[in-house]
Amino acid sequence: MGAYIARRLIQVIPVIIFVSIIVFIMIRLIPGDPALVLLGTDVTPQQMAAERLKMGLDQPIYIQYLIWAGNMVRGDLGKSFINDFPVSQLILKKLPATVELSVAALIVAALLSFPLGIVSALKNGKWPDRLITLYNSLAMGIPSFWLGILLVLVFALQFKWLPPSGFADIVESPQEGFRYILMPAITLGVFISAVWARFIKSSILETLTLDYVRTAHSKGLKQNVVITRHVLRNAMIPVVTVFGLNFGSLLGGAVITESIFDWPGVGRLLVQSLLTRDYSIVQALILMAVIVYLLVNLMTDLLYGVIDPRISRS
Amino acid sequence: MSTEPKSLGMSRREFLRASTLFLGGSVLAACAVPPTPVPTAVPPPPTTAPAVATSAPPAATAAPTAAPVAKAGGRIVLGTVGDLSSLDPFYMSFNNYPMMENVYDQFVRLDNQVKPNPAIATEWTTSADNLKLTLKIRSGVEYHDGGTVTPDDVVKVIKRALSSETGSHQYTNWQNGTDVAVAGNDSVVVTFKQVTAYIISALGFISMLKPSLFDTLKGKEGGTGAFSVKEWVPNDYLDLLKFPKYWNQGKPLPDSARVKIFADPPTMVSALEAGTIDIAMSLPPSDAQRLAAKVAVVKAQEAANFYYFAMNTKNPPFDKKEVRQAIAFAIDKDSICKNVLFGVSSPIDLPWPKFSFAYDSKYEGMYKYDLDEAKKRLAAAGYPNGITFAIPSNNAAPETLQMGQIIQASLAKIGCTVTLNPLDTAQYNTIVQAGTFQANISIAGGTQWFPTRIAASSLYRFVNNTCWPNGTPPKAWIDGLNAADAQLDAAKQKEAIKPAVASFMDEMWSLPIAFRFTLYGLQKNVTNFAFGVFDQPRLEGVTKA
Repeated sequence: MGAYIARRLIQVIPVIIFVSIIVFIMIRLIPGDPALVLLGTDVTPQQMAAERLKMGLDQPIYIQYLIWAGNMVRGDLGKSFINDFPVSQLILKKLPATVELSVAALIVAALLSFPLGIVSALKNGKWPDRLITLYNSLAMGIPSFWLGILLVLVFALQFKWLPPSGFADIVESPQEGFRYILMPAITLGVFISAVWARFIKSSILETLTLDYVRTAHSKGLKQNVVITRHVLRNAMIPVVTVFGLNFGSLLGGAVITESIFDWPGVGRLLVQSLLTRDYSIVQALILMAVIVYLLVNLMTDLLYGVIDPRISRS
Repeated sequence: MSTEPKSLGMSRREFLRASTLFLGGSVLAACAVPPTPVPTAVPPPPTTAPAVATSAPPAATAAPTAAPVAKAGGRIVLGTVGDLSSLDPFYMSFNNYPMMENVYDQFVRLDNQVKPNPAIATEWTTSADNLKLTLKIRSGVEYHDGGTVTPDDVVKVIKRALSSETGSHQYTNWQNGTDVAVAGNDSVVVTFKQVTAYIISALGFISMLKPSLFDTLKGKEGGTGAFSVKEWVPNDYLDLLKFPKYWNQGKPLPDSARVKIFADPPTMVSALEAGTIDIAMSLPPSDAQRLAAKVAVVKAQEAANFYYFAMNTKNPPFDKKEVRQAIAFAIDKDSICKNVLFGVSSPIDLPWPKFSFAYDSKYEGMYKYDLDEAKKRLAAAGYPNGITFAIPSNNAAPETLQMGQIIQASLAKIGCTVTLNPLDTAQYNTIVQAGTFQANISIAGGTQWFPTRIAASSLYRFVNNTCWPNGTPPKAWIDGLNAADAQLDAAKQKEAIKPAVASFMDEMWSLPIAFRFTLYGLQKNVTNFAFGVFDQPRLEGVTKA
């Protein structure tokens, strides 16, 4: 197992180098300049040149890359071009909020999708299944910005049950934190729940036709025992794959949801940094997203073995 | 064997359903916050109140004072859209305004008539030839992180403004300065190469900074203002704390303040409606009417900024003055003010407000919307079938795109084809800076505090002007503004600037559309809110009932 993990981690290195070069070049190909964003257009070309010099943008692009890559290897993510904040400090400030929202959204998705997926499979073709299929279609079709705004209008502005936006640390103040995270988590979780519910349904339907399920039934096991012990566990492998993919993408920042609910996560930071051409932050965040994605994928692969020992043995 | 699952039993399903409903209801009920009690002494909003205050109140710009008992202390939360770019007040961008006059003191404090009042400088005098300015520096002013302001510090701050490399947005105001030195124990003398009439007012925009922090000001403040910065989390909030050693005894009144940074206006408006922020800066005009029943909507400084439609004279078809004039006739400013600005602003003919010495009523209605006249002039200029051009706009000011749509529709009626090109700020700034646009809808400012300072904006400046060949606008424009700058007498200033105004209206490379008012939304229990000449919020006197 250790050798397998080491091999997978080594495979990550060239991917990271390749992505870093691509990101470094792509962000600089977009028209715009951080010095122009910072100073605006009402300054002289001399002032602009002085600001670009301070930012190190006067250097050839390959020199800029080598300096940045060298600093990255030493663990220095650099400073924001706009406000001089250390990038690592900024990311560390924002990441907990994103992780919190991601986990909350996955909990909402799990709470919705498992019952829906199971019921949908067990009642396949009947009215509960049709109803759940309708929910899935709506949940996947409704844009998250629309759902988010609707929730704000109803629960924050109309009934005043929940705050319309903002953030409170759920560890420091659980009740406040819960009130703030509920609507963004539902906004994100509803879409994911529909995707998962469909996966769970199809996976269960496939598993239900297998011989060992028939055997379990023939042994006289109760339906709920067959489902929980034999069907669900074996149906989970494709679900775990989707879970990994969703979790990885959520950690990259739920841009729209974070904006609607004023959630101080990395998604908003990434968008703002792109708009201001704050190269150092964009580069660091995209690299971080790639690394997280690769690690979550690795963890997903390892989880297969836990769910189905035959996979780890092979 | 059938794979049909066995029934789980009705009673369990019913139990689960009932439990879920009960739990869900309980959770939501637990989340609910009891409605905030309305202070009984606050009268209900008057039904006949205008949607938006008709103009900025003159001096203190105090917010409506219906609330009864104002209390010092507490925390004020000000919402704003878009993050601060820096804590260095020399970067005078709109997003930085929330911290500008709260964290920093300026050399003088301008009221809304642009009258200077003592701040860091307690007195200011000019020499007989008006080439030397002496500032007497207040004693005992402390920096937030310790130490006292000295005349030597003031010299270093002014030297920073005198340099094009370090002066940032201050440089345009101070570029006539040649030297600065300490004079005596408590004064500073600045020497100018020519008379600079606006310099006393410009003292209201230069902030006192701790010289030892010059290099780190982008992320760490170095001010002496009413509030110190407790924490700035970019894209989230700026937390301010009352500075107990503030020189202005008794101020600030709030114990703390938070500048809450929102990603977009709707989120800020929701927070204002829900009562989670006390003040919202820059309400969209489209929301002002609706919100006026719930909160106090205050219009800030008149003419702090204005919208304009610019035409680049470097290339055809706008190299012909007649074409530019023709297009000016085809822009329906009334429709823009009604449909985009929702009546918050009225059409303007000149970029200067009526109280400005540059204002001349003879130009009123000079380019009144007249499509027949526009068509006739286009034909005379050699374009009987109209012209084709693109208008870029900045997504950070989405109303400019809406203005472009109205212009596009009007021009289509006289055979012109207009393409709208919305861009993010970085892209937009790039093409404006490079001068690679044909036409442009944008915002400029500075005409409210001294008419000639319009020349600080890129499309009106004297050199590197991207709207003109060789970067040089018409000579009459440059000479007129320079002549006004060199006069200290109001009547002479009015006379001196006339050729510049005439040139502006005749050459028509920029058609003023309307003033851009910053709208503030205030909870009804907020009192004594004030703003600066550039609409900067001043929180030091704000109280909540």
